[in-house]
Amino acid sequence: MGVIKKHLTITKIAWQRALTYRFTVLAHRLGELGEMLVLILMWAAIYSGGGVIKGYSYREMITYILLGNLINVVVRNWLSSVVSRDIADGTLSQFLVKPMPYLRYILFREVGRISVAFAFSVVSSLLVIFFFTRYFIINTAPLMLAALAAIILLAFVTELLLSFLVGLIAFWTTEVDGIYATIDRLKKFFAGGYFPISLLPPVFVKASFLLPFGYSFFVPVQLYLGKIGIETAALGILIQLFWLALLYGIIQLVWNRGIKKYEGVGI
Amino acid sequence: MRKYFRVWLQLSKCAIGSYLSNRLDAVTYLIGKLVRFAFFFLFLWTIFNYTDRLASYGRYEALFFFLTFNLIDVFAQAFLRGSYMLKIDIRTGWFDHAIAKPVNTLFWSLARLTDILDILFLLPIIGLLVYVGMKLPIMITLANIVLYLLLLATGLVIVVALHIITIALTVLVFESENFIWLYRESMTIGRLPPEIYSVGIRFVFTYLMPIIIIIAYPVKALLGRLTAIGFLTALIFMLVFFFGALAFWRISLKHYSSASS
Amino acid sequence: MPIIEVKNLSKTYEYYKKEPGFIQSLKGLFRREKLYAQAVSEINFSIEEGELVGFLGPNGAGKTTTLKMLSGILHPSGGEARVLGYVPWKRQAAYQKQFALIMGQKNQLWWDLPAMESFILNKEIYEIPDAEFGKNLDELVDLLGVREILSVPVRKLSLGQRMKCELIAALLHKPRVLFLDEPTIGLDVVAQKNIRDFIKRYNREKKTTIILTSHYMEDIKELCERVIIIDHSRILYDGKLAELINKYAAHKQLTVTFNDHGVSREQVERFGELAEFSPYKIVIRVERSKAKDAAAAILASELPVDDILIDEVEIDEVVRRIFKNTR
Repeated sequence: MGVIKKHLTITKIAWQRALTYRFTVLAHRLGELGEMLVLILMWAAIYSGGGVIKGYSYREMITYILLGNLINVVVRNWLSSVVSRDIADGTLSQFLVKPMPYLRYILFREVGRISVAFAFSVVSSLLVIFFFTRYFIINTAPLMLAALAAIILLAFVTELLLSFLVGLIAFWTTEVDGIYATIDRLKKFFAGGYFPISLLPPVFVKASFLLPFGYSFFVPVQLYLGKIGIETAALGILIQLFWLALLYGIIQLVWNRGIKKYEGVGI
Repeated sequence: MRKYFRVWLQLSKCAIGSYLSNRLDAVTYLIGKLVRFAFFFLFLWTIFNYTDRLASYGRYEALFFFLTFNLIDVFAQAFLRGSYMLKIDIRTGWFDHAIAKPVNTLFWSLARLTDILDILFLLPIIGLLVYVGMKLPIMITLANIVLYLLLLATGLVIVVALHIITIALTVLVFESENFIWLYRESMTIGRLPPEIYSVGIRFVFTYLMPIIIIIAYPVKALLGRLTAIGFLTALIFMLVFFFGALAFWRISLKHYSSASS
Repeated sequence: MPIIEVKNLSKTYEYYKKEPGFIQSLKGLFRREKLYAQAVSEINFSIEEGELVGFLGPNGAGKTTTLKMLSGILHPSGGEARVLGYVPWKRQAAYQKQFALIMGQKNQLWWDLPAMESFILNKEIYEIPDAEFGKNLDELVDLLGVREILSVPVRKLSLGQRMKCELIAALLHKPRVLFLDEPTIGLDVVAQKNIRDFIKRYNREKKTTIILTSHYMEDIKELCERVIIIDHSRILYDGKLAELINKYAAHKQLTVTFNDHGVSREQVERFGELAEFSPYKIVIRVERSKAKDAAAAILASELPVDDILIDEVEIDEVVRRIFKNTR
């Protein structure tokens, strides 16, 4: 009980702090929605003559963008900058003894931080979907939804570990912002966030199945749209689990190396 | 004028020096920008594998919109980067020093930081513009090119005015650096031909936040699709925005309250 | 004619109320309460050319705000000021070329670069001719003894070295008026003294008019003949530092040391208010006019007096008492 309460407190404080970023959160979100609307309008212009592009009907394309963005705001996080700040300003020193308590602490803190952005983002995404109800494809096959939920949950955890790992770069350099921005863009591309990977040669589709990034956008929507079957989804979940284990292992490795460097500097 | 050029040169020299001590950040930021640029370029290119027209424009016309957007956007990023520093400068007292010095505060606030790498980024963009320009399926006359450059200049003046408005807001409200991001986000609609948007959206981004005037009008002039009224509109907007922004800047500086020490 | 003249100068800041707590910050999203803070209210003073005047006052008293108005950074809410005949907040280049501002907590040097780059920047901004720039720079660099560090990035300098470079950057254009806001803040004792000595010498040799604010009484005592004491946005005292003591310190201090077996409290209580007591040393506070008599009485008594000293009350003490009375 006490443990839960402690973690809830961390969450709550982070949440309050996040609210004071009112304008930042709002402006950022509006920008994102704007970009999404631009994409939708662009596809509308392309589909204005009707037809199907690479197996996507107009409605499917709209659903791809809307649902993909919704899933993306659910699974994403800003952990990297938190971790790098902790490393840079020495906050990490309190956690020097063991690696996992820091990881756990930071995960809970992050869950709190994303709550605001999360609420903003999810609600606004749902509103946009509501606005486009006419084009949004509804699919309620229970087995598919269960698999979808599993993929999203795993993608959420994968993203946290990924961000944590990227955040550890700060052990070696303080100049991390540019690196993060670049990684984010690469991730977004392979996740299919700019446009469906299927538009590119098949090798890209394969890569996006094997890499962890696609599970935050492209793969779950493919499942929802019925472009991949439940068996493929099951295989995908296995790939996700494999990545989780791998990332966890890499984090351990990188953490231990980084900590040695960190202690060496003696902050 | 000569003085300001010399001040600007020394500022740029300082900026390069600063960059050299943050090499990794500078380079990775540039790579990030290149990646985004490349992906969007690839995206536009790929789309035309599946369609001939995007709102009545062909591949190279659409790309020309995209490249013009980048030209203006990167230009502002390179030469008006100071406006992004203003909030920090107010906090650290740099801005206070700037006000107290015999140098135009507006010039200082806009141009106190120049991004050399962004200037380098301008070169491939200009190269691609020329390449794509030559592939355009219509005859481009000298008059078209002159009009394009003229409207580009008009657009840049409006961009400067928008930056002045954002820094004036920062001086007034301090917390409001986000206005610059509002502008940045709005700019992204200019990556694509304006005809893909509905009449309402086009109205908003022509007359309220004149992104379409800034980016699309020059391209349309080049393609011979801009009416005389459009030309006139751009001219009027430039004047209104520029002088309005200057007036607003003066007011904001009068109400500047500095950061508590 | 005074070089600086200030009449009824006032400044009111506007700001927004911030409430703690979740619900409040949620409310803050929609509605904020505007508040006002009086930073400077109707102050008056004038300063002659070549004077070195100290501004004294606790944090938030209005010292820095006053300097910022005189530098033209802030517009006043009311009143007037003329420096060198100019209205500062008109921000005329002709005025800006004749004064300099140094803020101990807010530096103007480029952080990542050697100070020299910032000097060159100021050279261009103040349009200092090459020859004059070289001459001024040499002189200042020698005076402050910083030649070796000119090519070291500012971030690698010690606080004291940094402040020296700040001084150079500000003085390259030979300002006639200099505003110094907490120039010694955070420095160690040696560095403080170096800066102080420099300021003193510079003022004497160049006849530069200087206004200085500081937390450290030592700065004021060393440098300023005249002080202006500000608290709660108002001027409490404006005059010679020496006269401050006469005016506000109604008491003198007698420090008496004893030998043999010392003394007991009862034996000495009758001479005045005991500020400190131990059998071998006491400090007594007596009214100014009666200090001599009290000393004579002690010497005439049976007590085993070893030595007796009559002191002015420490100026820090006086100032502290002035501020305490206004709270």
